[in-house]
Amino acid sequence: MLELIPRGLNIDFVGKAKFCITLSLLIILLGIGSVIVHGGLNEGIDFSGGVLLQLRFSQPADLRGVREALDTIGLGKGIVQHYGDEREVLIRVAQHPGEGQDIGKQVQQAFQERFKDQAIELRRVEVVGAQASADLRRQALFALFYATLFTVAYISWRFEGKLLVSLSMAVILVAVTNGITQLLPGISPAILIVVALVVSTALNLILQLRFALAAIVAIYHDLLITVSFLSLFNVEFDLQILAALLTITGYSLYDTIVVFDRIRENMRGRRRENFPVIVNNSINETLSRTVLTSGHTTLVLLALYLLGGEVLHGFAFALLIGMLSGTYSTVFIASPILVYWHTLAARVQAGTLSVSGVRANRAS
Amino acid sequence: MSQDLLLKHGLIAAVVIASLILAMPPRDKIHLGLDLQGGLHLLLEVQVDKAFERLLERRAETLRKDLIAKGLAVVAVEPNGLQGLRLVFSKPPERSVVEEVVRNQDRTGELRQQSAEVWIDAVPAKELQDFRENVVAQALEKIRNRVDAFGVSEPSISREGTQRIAIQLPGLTDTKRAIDLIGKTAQLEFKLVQSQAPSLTATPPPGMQLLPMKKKDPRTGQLVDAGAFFVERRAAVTGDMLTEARAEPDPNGQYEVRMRLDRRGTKLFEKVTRENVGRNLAIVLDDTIFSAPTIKVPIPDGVAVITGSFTPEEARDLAVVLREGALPAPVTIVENRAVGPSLGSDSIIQGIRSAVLGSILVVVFMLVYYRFSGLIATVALALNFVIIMGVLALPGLGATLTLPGIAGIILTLGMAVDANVLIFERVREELRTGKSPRAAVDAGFDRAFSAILDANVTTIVAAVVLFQFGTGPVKGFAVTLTIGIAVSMFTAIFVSRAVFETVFRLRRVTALSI
Repeated sequence: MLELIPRGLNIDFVGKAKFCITLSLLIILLGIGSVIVHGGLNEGIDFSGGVLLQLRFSQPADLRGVREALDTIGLGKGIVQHYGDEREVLIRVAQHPGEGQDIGKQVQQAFQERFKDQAIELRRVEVVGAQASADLRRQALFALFYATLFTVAYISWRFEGKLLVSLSMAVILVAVTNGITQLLPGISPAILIVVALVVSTALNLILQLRFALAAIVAIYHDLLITVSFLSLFNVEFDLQILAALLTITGYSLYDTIVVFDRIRENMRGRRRENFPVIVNNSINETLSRTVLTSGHTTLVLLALYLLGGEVLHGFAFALLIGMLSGTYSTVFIASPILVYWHTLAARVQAGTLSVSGVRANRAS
Repeated sequence: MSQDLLLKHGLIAAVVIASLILAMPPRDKIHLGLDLQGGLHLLLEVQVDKAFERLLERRAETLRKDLIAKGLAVVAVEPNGLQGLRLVFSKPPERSVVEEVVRNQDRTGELRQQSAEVWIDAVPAKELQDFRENVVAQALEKIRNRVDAFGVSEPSISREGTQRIAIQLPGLTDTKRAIDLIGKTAQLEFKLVQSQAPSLTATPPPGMQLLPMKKKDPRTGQLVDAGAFFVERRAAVTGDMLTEARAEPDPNGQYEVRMRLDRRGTKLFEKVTRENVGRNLAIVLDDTIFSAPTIKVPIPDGVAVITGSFTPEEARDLAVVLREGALPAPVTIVENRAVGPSLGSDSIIQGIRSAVLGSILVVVFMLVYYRFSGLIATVALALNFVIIMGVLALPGLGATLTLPGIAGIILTLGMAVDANVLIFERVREELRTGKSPRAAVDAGFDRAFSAILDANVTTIVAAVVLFQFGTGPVKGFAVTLTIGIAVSMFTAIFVSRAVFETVFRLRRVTALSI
């Protein structure tokens, strides 16, 4: 039997949690810094509006010439880059052409005049209006909001077995956010997401849904890490990236579910054992499947990243980061949170920590 | 073999055969998205409010006349935003008279007095809503008819949200022509010309309006400004009185559009040309003058011609939109995406290549790591792929394969194997506790199930949200991801378990190759 992880392996994962949490925070801070430096996320035309053109030249295209040719038709301010290889050129222009203008033909003609000996093929033209892109951005954020909401409700149910509690949590969240949108119709969904994040975390704390809380923090962690990497590598945010982020909310739970299932199974069997030890053992016991499942997905995503072509590059990259982060956060973020919660709760019970004054008073 | 197991094999065989029949050959059976086959995607916004404004303007005009006819001192009747009409009088009118006139307009408005001289004829909210609904539905119908004129196979036209219309035209890349044919309101009017306007910004005399004239530049083929005219606000004849319109060659070898009017139109046309010999009659399309010929003799036969040095195609398209009639409201194009066919076929090749590489990597790993059991997982994986294709080709589902959709299939191949990994790892654990192969396999499948289900449900939740929200290629990803995960539950759990059971049934297994 071939075994990736030697049997009886016992790595102290929980002990490395402090270091890992710091590392994650550092990456997220770097990401935030990068977003600030870049003046926001690098939004593609889906979300920012404008024109995208993809042209193929019969010989390697000289970008300076391309820019000059664009300048002759007043599009000199656009972003010009090679796409995939030297013959393929991608142009992004912020302004919207006038109604009825065939911008693709215009650009092609301008290039044909400048590069007379080349055959130039217009491969893709996308024009997204300002209103359409604003709507897409808003819808995208709402999609992210609902995906996290439903996922949170589902795992609260499955991890804690409290269907009513999780359902009412979902209802409360929808009610709160609906109330806010009623009061402030123009509010950005980004703020709603933050509100939902705070409310759901608070609800989980109050209701003591520790597994759900840990899993949710892990989801937020994975999304933040992915967005940080995307910003650091200046990957363009478009609808495909949104699809990747949504997939990450769902899929990053894969190994969290496996590990948490094992923790609960072990808690039933070995009630008296030290909780941190149970968590650590559970991670070690399931380590081979954690590594194998994410290993497989990484393999297929690598194939996609390497051979899937330029169009899927950002998408495959985002999924890769999210997937790896999902595995990492299961072991180093979600599980330690469970342990911290347990220690904290134990100390509160023992009266050594007065988180809740009432309880401490009663104890004395 | 037991009946139970035979039934399982029968089911699997049926599903696989059905999938093969559905999906073979994939080139014909699986509907490709525009990003893979090339084509044009347009998102139009119907300017409903503009149409409603126009309706209010027309109402205001009628109401003004009726009020004046009753001898009231009307200063103005004008639209009050989209809420209704504002009636301004120079001295307080008699309440009962105003009420009577407004009631005679045959509407269910509410009449309010704002001040002594100002009244509001409000439009009920329901009316505006119904109007919106109607206009968008009508526009959709008209656009459908116009799209038919392209002769594109399998165009798709659907309503999106409250006032948007999405159009997919596979294989078409002539954006300009599509926009001309679909996006044109095609509001045709014949209006009497008062005089040439001194500039494009001149103020028209009362009852008149200023309209620009455009001519085609014979060199570039683009429409260019050719002055402007003051024309009568009221149209003499409108495009809804057309019975026929077709493209015909003119003596100069170019094309014109010849129209025939209905009885009412013919009568009106005859009257206006008889009474205005010597004046110019502007042919106005969407508030732009195409030509303004002088009326030489009265025209009794109801035949009118639009000349504009058209190419045959332009003339044909114009005839189509005139024949089909004007859109009930102007539309603007808020999104337009065109993909050339060569990019599409490149994408297909890249998608297939990465799918092949991804599958090979996964299969090799499974075979090396789990040996015989890995082979079972590989069989399940192959079936998974076949069934996904079958579901994609299901006629009733209307699924479309896009480039992100291919990525979704690749991803679900990875996820299908994940399920097998969870099961096999569990089996290994059970074996270590000293269970027999058979018992270990049973326990492995049973115990891994809930984790697999949970993990898949959370991913499907994300996919469903994406499907609800997404458009175009990204929607294709949501589709294949959902199908792929659902199918992987069948193949990775049901199919591979059936294979294990068969092996146990056929021979005594003392050591499991896992």
